[in-house]
Amino acid sequence: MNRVIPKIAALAGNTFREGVRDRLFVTVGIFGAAILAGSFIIGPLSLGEQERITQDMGLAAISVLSFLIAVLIGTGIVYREIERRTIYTVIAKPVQRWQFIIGKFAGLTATVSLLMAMMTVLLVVVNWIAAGSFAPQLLTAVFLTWMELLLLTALSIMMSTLSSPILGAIFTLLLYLIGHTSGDLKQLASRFGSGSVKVFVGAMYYTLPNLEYLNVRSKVIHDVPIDFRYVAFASSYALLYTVAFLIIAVMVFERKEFK
Amino acid sequence: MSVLSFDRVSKVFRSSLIGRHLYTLGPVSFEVEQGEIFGYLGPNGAGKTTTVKLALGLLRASSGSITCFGRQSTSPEIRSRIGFLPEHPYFYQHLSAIELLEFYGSVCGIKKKPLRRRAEKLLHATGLTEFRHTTLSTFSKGMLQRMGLAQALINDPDIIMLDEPLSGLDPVGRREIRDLILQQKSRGKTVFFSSHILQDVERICDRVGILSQGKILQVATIAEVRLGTTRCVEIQVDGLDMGKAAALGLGEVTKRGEKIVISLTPDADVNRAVGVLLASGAKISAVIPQRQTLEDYFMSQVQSPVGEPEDEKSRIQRVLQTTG
Repeated sequence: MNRVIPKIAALAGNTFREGVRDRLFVTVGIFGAAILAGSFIIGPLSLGEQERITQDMGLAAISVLSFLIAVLIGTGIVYREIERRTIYTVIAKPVQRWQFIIGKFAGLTATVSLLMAMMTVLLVVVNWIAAGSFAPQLLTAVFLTWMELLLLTALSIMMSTLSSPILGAIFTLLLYLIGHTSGDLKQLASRFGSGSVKVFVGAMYYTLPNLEYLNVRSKVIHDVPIDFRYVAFASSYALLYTVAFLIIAVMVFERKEFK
Repeated sequence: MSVLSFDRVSKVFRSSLIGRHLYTLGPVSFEVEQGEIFGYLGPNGAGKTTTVKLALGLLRASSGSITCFGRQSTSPEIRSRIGFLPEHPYFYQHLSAIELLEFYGSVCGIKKKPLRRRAEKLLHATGLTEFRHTTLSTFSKGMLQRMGLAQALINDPDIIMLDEPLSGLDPVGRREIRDLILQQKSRGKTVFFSSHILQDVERICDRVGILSQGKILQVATIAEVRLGTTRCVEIQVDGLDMGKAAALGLGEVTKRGEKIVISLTPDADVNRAVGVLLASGAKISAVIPQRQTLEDYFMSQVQSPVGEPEDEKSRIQRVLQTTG
């Protein structure tokens, strides 16, 4: 074990370095900062709702922009290594393939986490200026968004072992949209759908992750208290899917040949 | 003692869509001995890179086994004793030279302090010290090749597998890499060296294996290749014109610059020929036996396969029979 961790750390460190040196990371970071600053400017126009507007826009920006980074980097993370043949020299070293996938996951998670941390600090500062106080509930929402990002990062990496970056990004986006609407889709299907539609939507609902479990933004904005047990349940739910996606990614990657 | 052994190894590539067999290697069997430089020769498409990838686990063999130091070559323990330079190496463009070596060293499980020392030493040995903080995206092809060799040596491997390490290098670069390879041999390391640049192989290898159409045609020492046959004996003379030299009937006469060159058959009596030339007033400037070069040997092996030439269909059938 003592030799495994440094290897995974080296792979993760390299992925993190590649991520933060990517122009995309800087661009998204600047864009995020602009949105957060923008929420501060728009806030006063909302007649006494400045704090809510700032929180709503800030949390949405953190969620969407982090998702963008996870998908745009993640869905190409393994595919590009094979395409650019950088993988040959790495896999020829005494590293196991599962360590490679876990290293990539850890590195990309660190990249996304850095972006989220920077935007969260900015959100807290903007919110402090707008409301004159610190709302700890904000951090609960950010934490669950982070758990969602773990799941989506693992999903992106799994897609990267299966298909090209474009296809992977489309599928991940699709699963993201379904994940946020599967509850509504199930209700719609039960009301208006035919038998087969109900079965199909039901299957999707029970097998695909329901990402709305991890979305507590509206509760935070409207000061609805969030129970610790709920946070623990939602986090475990996200971790379960994260592990499942990583296992599939490792299984696919173990079978790969590098021609 | 053999350190790397291929035992009836074959590989069949199938088209994923229709299951058609596209390309095959083997079955190949040969051994690489401890401390030697083994040249793995073959024309483009013969299967050299496939063989190397099979040994490293980048590809899975359809049949047969590859052992290194007595164990399966693809196990992580064995890979920690192998250094690998791929053909046309590609590296992470966002890293600098020192960062890249430190990354590969960490992946090999080398601790930070000894790793830094080793990385600096290898940058010095490959002439890249002044570019240690330069990102690889700005490196020339020759610099990348040297970087490739440095990363292959980062774990101080016992066996180094080099796939076309000298291709694309200028004469100075080739010389430097050749010297580095010879340096490894002098340290008791084993080098497996695939190439189609025969002059380089002839200069540094102890033994060669010749691969053609996925089959090993011959394994021989360089001494066996060189001493196998003398092609001809050339006598260079002055003071004789072409007509007179031809009239002596000693052998084929050609003019090379100012010199007249008489080529004798390998079994000709050289003493008698020299005597005849001196008697006719010629001045002998050199007597040079022209030995078979590796290129002659390689061409004779590749162009005259034993038996009938094998077409692709029968080759696939043969490999499939061995793979079951």
